[in-house]
Amino acid sequence: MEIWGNLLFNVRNFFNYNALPSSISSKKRKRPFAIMGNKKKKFKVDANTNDMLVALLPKVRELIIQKFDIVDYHRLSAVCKSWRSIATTTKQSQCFSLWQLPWLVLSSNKFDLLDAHHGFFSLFHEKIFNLEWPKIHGAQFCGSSLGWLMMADGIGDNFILHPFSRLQIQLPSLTTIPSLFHRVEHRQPGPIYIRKVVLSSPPIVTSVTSTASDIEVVDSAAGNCFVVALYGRSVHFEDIIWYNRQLYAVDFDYDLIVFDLGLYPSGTRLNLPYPTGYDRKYRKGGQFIYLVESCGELLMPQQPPPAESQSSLTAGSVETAVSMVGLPIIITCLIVVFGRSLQTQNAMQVLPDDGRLADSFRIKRYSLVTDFSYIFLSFYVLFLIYRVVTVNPKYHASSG
Amino acid sequence: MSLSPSTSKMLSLKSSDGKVLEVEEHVAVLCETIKSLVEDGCADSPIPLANVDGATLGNVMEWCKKHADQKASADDLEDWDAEFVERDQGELYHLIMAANYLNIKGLLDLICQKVADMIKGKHPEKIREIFNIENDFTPEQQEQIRKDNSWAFE
Repeated sequence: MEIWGNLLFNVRNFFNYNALPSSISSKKRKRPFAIMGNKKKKFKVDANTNDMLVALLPKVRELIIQKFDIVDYHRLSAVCKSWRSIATTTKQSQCFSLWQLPWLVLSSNKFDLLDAHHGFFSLFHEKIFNLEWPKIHGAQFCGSSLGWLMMADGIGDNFILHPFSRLQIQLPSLTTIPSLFHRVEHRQPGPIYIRKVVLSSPPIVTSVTSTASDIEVVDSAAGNCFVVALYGRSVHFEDIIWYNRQLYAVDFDYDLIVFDLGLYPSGTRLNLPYPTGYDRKYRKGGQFIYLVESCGELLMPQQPPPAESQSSLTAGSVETAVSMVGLPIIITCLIVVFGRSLQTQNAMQVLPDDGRLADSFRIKRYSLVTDFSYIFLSFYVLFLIYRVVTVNPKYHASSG
Repeated sequence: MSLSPSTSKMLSLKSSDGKVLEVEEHVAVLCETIKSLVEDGCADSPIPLANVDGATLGNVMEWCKKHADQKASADDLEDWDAEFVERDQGELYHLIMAANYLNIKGLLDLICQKVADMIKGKHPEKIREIFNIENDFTPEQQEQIRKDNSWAFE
């Protein structure tokens, strides 16, 4: 059985995985202007080209290509040679793909189905794209960050996978975290679930060790990646976010905690007041709290309470869908939407009316107050942050 | 049907093909290029616009006039813009070049969005048809390109 999976996959940063030098030519050639009659069907700029995209100044051309997503990018690369070279140049200049709707991952709860193809549903294109994945040997997909997918095998060994380049980076095993090691060794035979994954920066891919087969294993995580597992002993974290170069978490009482991930990791409570109308005693189990970044702001949207107590923290209306995929995993999807630009695309009305989807994925449309982007979360028992920056021993932080 | 105070000063704009267009100053200054000329006090004689032909200049000023109208609502402007961009490629091309040269961000964004919409969500065959482009890949190259990212061409 396939289900709509457990993440928002944002491909926005998908070209950042290898920091290519910006090598776009800034050479501006002035082209002679040919004045055409308006009625003429065939468009001709000068003797050399009748191709509008080619004729435009690179600066202006980039304004157009910026509006494309990765699907359009591949398609326009296949139009003709000159468009292909335009696409390549734009990719190198990294101005590409600034504006993209997130993709949803079509996941499966059967391990043996995971090795061949994986589906991504594109809201904009209104269809499923089946990307061929490298062999992942039963690893379960469990979240995404900065365009990378987090893959976990359920016993603590994880890697991140870039679905387009198919690069893989092995991560340190979770069993190196003392508390988890204890759990794995002594107590619980059950799998470890990851509730959310955050990359603090895109991994810097330094060398590709193998390109011959269909698997590309990248040797970059060996010395410069460390894992922070975040789980409170006395605090229950609801969500985390990497925002403004810092890690924030929100707890059950709507308080925000900001973490210092330096040598002696610690958390500081910001002591935010409860939202208006919030009464801890009446908190429902299914009422989750999220952290979202949108338009540079950190927001804490809420599901609209079922009863009369509306919260003042709700910045826009929120849509939710919950489905059970076998205990103990609860997959929760929260999508916070949209600006005017999205409304004109009818982005949320396009989910196929398909019985297979209807079971596990419901989308309703609400009227919205403000411009927004999305969040799509899975609900697991552990938070993780992956940080791929410095050479540093692994450590684990619990909240203070 | 004047859209401006009757006291508004008129500017003369001279296109590349020698046509002179009289435009109210508050309309013409939507072009940042002209605005800086006005601010520098260099807008007295007809302003020569060597990169914009007469027909395109007329179109550009039509857009500026609409967008300088304080009474136009956002919805109204959006509808009007949608109609404004219904043009053939030649005109769109010249509008982009003019908007870039005259530095009119709103118009440049509008036309770029229109061109992007002509490409977005379409397969290469359809794009070639729309833009009248010849496929100059060899069959082998074509095959390879499709194979590399076959998912995008489904």
